[in-house]
Amino acid sequence: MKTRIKELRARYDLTQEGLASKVGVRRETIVFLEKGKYNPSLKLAHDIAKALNSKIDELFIFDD
Amino acid sequence: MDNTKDNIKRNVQSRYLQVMMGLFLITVDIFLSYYNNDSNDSPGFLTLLGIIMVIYYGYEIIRYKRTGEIRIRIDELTELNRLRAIDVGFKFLTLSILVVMILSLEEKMGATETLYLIYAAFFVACLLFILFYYIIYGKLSK
Repeated sequence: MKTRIKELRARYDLTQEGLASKVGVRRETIVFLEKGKYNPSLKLAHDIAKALNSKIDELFIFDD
Repeated sequence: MDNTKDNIKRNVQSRYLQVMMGLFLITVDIFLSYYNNDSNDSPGFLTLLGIIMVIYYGYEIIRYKRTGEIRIRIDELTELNRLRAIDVGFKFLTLSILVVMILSLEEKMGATETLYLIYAAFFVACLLFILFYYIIYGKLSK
Protein backbone atom coordinates (compact mmCIF):
# COMPACT_ATOMS: atom_id res chain seq x y z
CA MET A 1 0.00 0.00 0.00
CA LYS A 2 1.26 3.47 -0.85
CA THR A 3 0.17 6.71 0.70
CA ARG A 4 0.19 10.36 -0.27
CA ILE A 5 0.34 11.49 3.35
CA LYS A 6 3.82 13.00 3.02
CA GLU A 7 2.86 14.89 -0.13
CA LEU A 8 -0.30 16.35 1.36
CA ARG A 9 1.39 17.03 4.67
CA ALA A 10 3.97 19.15 2.86
CA ARG A 11 1.19 21.01 1.02
CA TYR A 12 -0.28 22.12 4.33
CA ASP A 13 3.12 22.68 5.92
CA LEU A 14 2.48 20.12 8.63
CA THR A 15 5.23 18.26 10.40
CA GLN A 16 4.87 14.58 11.25
CA GLU A 17 4.49 15.60 14.90
CA GLY A 18 1.86 18.18 13.97
CA LEU A 19 -0.22 15.70 12.00
CA ALA A 20 0.22 13.08 14.73
CA SER A 21 -1.12 15.38 17.44
CA LYS A 22 -4.01 16.47 15.18
CA VAL A 23 -5.20 12.87 14.76
CA GLY A 24 -4.20 11.68 18.24
CA VAL A 25 -1.42 9.21 17.44
CA ARG A 26 2.33 9.00 18.00
CA ARG A 27 4.75 10.51 15.50
CA GLU A 28 6.17 7.02 14.91
CA THR A 29 2.77 5.87 13.66
CA ILE A 30 2.80 8.61 11.01
CA VAL A 31 6.32 7.49 10.02
CA PHE A 32 5.10 3.92 9.62
CA LEU A 33 2.10 5.07 7.59
CA GLU A 34 4.20 7.20 5.24
CA LYS A 35 6.54 4.27 4.61
CA GLY A 36 3.52 2.09 3.84
CA LYS A 37 4.50 -0.31 6.62
CA TYR A 38 1.23 -0.06 8.51
CA ASN A 39 -2.42 -0.26 7.47
CA PRO A 40 -4.41 2.12 9.66
CA SER A 41 -7.85 1.45 11.04
CA LEU A 42 -10.76 2.98 9.17
CA LYS A 43 -11.23 5.53 11.95
CA LEU A 44 -7.61 6.65 11.76
CA ALA A 45 -7.63 6.75 7.96
CA HIS A 46 -10.76 8.90 8.10
CA ASP A 47 -9.21 11.28 10.65
CA ILE A 48 -6.02 11.65 8.63
CA ALA A 49 -7.99 12.31 5.46
CA LYS A 50 -10.05 14.93 7.30
CA ALA A 51 -6.91 16.56 8.73
CA LEU A 52 -5.43 16.78 5.22
CA ASN A 53 -8.67 17.91 3.54
CA SER A 54 -8.65 14.82 1.41
CA LYS A 55 -10.55 11.61 0.84
CA ILE A 56 -9.43 8.19 2.04
CA ASP A 57 -9.15 6.73 -1.45
CA GLU A 58 -7.07 9.70 -2.60
CA LEU A 59 -4.74 9.30 0.36
CA PHE A 60 -4.18 5.54 0.39
CA ILE A 61 -3.35 3.71 -2.83
CA PHE A 62 -3.63 -0.05 -2.81
CA ASP A 63 -1.54 -2.12 -5.21
CA ASP A 64 -3.91 -4.45 -7.05
CA MET B 1 -12.34 13.70 15.42
CA ASP B 2 -13.67 10.68 17.33
CA ASN B 3 -10.46 8.69 17.05
CA THR B 4 -8.46 11.58 18.47
CA LYS B 5 -10.82 12.12 21.41
CA ASP B 6 -10.95 8.38 22.15
CA ASN B 7 -7.19 8.13 22.01
CA ILE B 8 -6.60 11.14 24.21
CA LYS B 9 -9.07 9.70 26.73
CA ARG B 10 -7.18 6.40 26.67
CA ASN B 11 -3.86 8.15 27.23
CA VAL B 12 -5.23 10.18 30.15
CA GLN B 13 -6.75 7.03 31.68
CA SER B 14 -3.40 5.25 31.40
CA ARG B 15 -1.77 8.07 33.40
CA TYR B 16 -4.37 7.61 36.17
CA LEU B 17 -3.66 3.87 36.13
CA GLN B 18 0.07 4.52 36.44
CA VAL B 19 -0.51 6.78 39.45
CA MET B 20 -2.64 4.04 41.04
CA MET B 21 0.09 1.51 40.26
CA GLY B 22 2.61 3.76 41.97
CA LEU B 23 0.42 4.03 45.08
CA PHE B 24 -0.06 0.27 45.01
CA LEU B 25 3.71 -0.34 44.91
CA ILE B 26 4.22 2.00 47.88
CA THR B 27 1.47 0.20 49.80
CA VAL B 28 2.93 -3.23 49.01
CA ASP B 29 6.41 -2.21 50.11
CA ILE B 30 5.15 -0.74 53.38
CA PHE B 31 3.01 -3.84 53.96
CA LEU B 32 5.96 -6.17 53.34
CA SER B 33 8.23 -4.14 55.63
CA TYR B 34 5.62 -4.12 58.39
CA TYR B 35 5.14 -7.89 58.30
CA ASN B 36 8.85 -8.60 57.92
CA ASN B 37 10.24 -9.72 61.28
CA ASP B 38 13.59 -8.05 60.67
CA SER B 39 13.03 -4.60 62.17
CA ASN B 40 16.11 -3.14 60.44
CA ASP B 41 14.36 -3.36 57.09
CA SER B 42 12.75 -0.20 55.79
CA PRO B 43 10.71 0.47 52.64
CA GLY B 44 13.06 0.58 49.71
CA PHE B 45 13.10 0.11 45.98
CA LEU B 46 9.38 -0.42 45.42
CA THR B 47 8.54 2.69 47.44
CA LEU B 48 11.03 4.74 45.45
CA LEU B 49 9.64 3.44 42.17
CA GLY B 50 6.10 4.10 43.38
CA ILE B 51 6.92 7.68 44.39
CA ILE B 52 8.57 8.38 41.04
CA MET B 53 5.53 6.99 39.20
CA VAL B 54 3.08 9.01 41.29
CA ILE B 55 5.03 12.24 40.81
CA TYR B 56 5.77 11.77 37.10
CA TYR B 57 2.35 10.63 35.97
CA GLY B 58 0.58 12.90 38.43
CA TYR B 59 2.43 15.84 36.88
CA GLU B 60 1.30 14.75 33.41
CA ILE B 61 -2.31 14.63 34.61
CA ILE B 62 -2.05 18.10 36.16
CA ARG B 63 -0.47 19.46 32.96
CA TYR B 64 -3.29 17.95 30.90
CA LYS B 65 -5.91 19.52 33.17
CA ARG B 66 -4.25 22.94 32.79
CA THR B 67 -3.28 22.96 29.12
CA GLY B 68 -5.42 20.25 27.52
CA GLU B 69 -2.26 18.74 26.04
CA ILE B 70 -0.99 15.26 26.61
CA ARG B 71 1.83 13.35 25.02
CA ILE B 72 0.35 10.45 23.10
CA ARG B 73 2.07 7.25 24.16
CA ILE B 74 -0.67 4.75 23.37
CA ASP B 75 -2.25 4.50 19.96
CA GLU B 76 -3.50 1.71 17.73
CA LEU B 77 -0.01 0.84 16.48
CA THR B 78 1.53 0.59 19.96
CA GLU B 79 -1.38 -1.59 21.06
CA LEU B 80 -0.90 -3.82 18.03
CA ASN B 81 2.84 -4.09 18.78
CA ARG B 82 2.07 -4.83 22.42
CA LEU B 83 -0.31 -7.66 21.46
CA ARG B 84 2.28 -9.08 19.04
CA ALA B 85 4.97 -8.96 21.73
CA ILE B 86 2.63 -10.58 24.29
CA ASP B 87 1.91 -13.29 21.72
CA VAL B 88 5.63 -14.10 21.45
CA GLY B 89 6.11 -14.21 25.22
CA PHE B 90 2.96 -16.27 25.76
CA LYS B 91 3.89 -18.85 23.12
CA PHE B 92 7.33 -19.26 24.64
CA LEU B 93 5.84 -19.56 28.13
CA THR B 94 3.27 -22.22 27.24
CA LEU B 95 5.79 -24.24 25.27
CA SER B 96 8.45 -24.15 27.98
CA ILE B 97 6.00 -24.96 30.78
CA LEU B 98 4.72 -27.88 28.69
CA VAL B 99 8.27 -29.22 28.35
CA VAL B 100 8.95 -28.77 32.07
CA MET B 101 5.71 -30.53 32.98
CA ILE B 102 6.51 -33.48 30.71
CA LEU B 103 9.99 -33.79 32.21
CA SER B 104 8.53 -33.56 35.69
CA LEU B 105 5.85 -36.18 35.00
CA GLU B 106 8.47 -38.55 33.61
CA GLU B 107 10.37 -38.01 36.85
CA LYS B 108 13.43 -36.63 35.07
CA MET B 109 13.64 -33.89 37.72
CA GLY B 110 12.30 -33.14 41.20
CA ALA B 111 9.75 -30.60 42.42
CA THR B 112 12.36 -27.96 43.27
CA GLU B 113 13.95 -28.05 39.82
CA THR B 114 10.51 -27.93 38.22
CA LEU B 115 9.57 -24.86 40.22
CA TYR B 116 12.82 -23.03 39.42
CA LEU B 117 12.48 -23.81 35.73
CA ILE B 118 8.93 -22.43 35.73
CA TYR B 119 10.22 -19.22 37.40
CA ALA B 120 12.92 -19.03 34.73
CA ALA B 121 10.35 -19.55 31.98
CA PHE B 122 8.27 -16.63 33.31
CA PHE B 123 11.37 -14.45 33.51
CA VAL B 124 12.44 -15.26 29.94
CA ALA B 125 8.87 -14.71 28.67
CA CYS B 126 8.93 -11.21 30.24
CA LEU B 127 12.33 -10.53 28.67
CA LEU B 128 11.04 -11.63 25.28
CA PHE B 129 8.07 -9.30 25.63
CA ILE B 130 10.37 -6.37 26.46
CA LEU B 131 12.74 -7.28 23.63
CA PHE B 132 10.03 -7.55 21.01
CA TYR B 133 7.92 -4.59 22.12
CA TYR B 134 10.60 -1.99 22.77
CA ILE B 135 13.41 -3.07 20.49
CA ILE B 136 12.23 -5.09 17.54
CA TYR B 137 8.86 -3.48 16.88
CA GLY B 138 9.93 -0.11 18.23
CA LYS B 139 13.11 -0.01 16.17
CA LEU B 140 11.21 -0.60 12.94
CA SER B 141 9.65 2.84 13.28
CA LYS B 142 13.03 4.63 13.12
